[in-house]
Amino acid sequence: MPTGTATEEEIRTGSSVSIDSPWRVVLWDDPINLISYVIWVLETLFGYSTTKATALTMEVHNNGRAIVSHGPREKAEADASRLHQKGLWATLERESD
Amino acid sequence: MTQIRGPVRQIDENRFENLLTDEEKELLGMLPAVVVEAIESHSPYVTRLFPPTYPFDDAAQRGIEKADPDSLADAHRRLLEGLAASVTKPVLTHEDLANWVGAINDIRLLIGTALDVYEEMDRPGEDDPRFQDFVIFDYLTWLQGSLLAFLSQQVDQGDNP
Repeated sequence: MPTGTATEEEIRTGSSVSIDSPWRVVLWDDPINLISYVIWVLETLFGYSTTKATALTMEVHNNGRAIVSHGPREKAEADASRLHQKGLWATLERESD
Repeated sequence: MTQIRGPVRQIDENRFENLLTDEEKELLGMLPAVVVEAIESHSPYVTRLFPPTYPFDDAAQRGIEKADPDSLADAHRRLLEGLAASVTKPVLTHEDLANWVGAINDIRLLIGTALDVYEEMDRPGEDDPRFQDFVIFDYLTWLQGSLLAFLSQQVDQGDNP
């Protein structure tokens, strides 16, 4: 856990993690969403090829989760929000976790 | 030989004939309002429509919710109202189908959560009080899959990296 003076972002969000750290968007498996739907969402939201979207979706299906995007915190939050709007279960984690 | 009817028939690159029956249109015109009502009443069955971004960091989760408290509910509402408004259109666009697929997913998430659906789950018998809800859930699964087949063809024809 970081120590020392909190950054402005940490104060704004109340978070103990820094905005400057790279972040991963994790997509989680669920029993309701169709595999074909998840593939289509990854293709249309992120512009992934069918091959890449299918591989990520099968990783979610088989392993329970997959990292589908990463980057600065603001971008990762935006990506997770777009996935939530499509009914997919996405969370954020720091790349160092 | 019998040909299985699909929900739409492609007319050209961006037009699809709506082949839904009146009964299907009535159902799809009614279900979005059920989900909107569940969202507005904070039903426990809408939890899958509002997943946390930071499940292990309450402060960060509160921060992101406070920054834009209604955006996700509004996005779901737009999708659902779009389905209800377009379900009787005789000719649909690619955008209509994409909207339908998202709205149907929201409805499936609500019903699936209420029924506690899991993968490879056996369906209850006709004497089970959940039977009719499973029939609707399975119909929506078929419909969403059928529409995705049309949309995926369009993606395949694109130039994705």
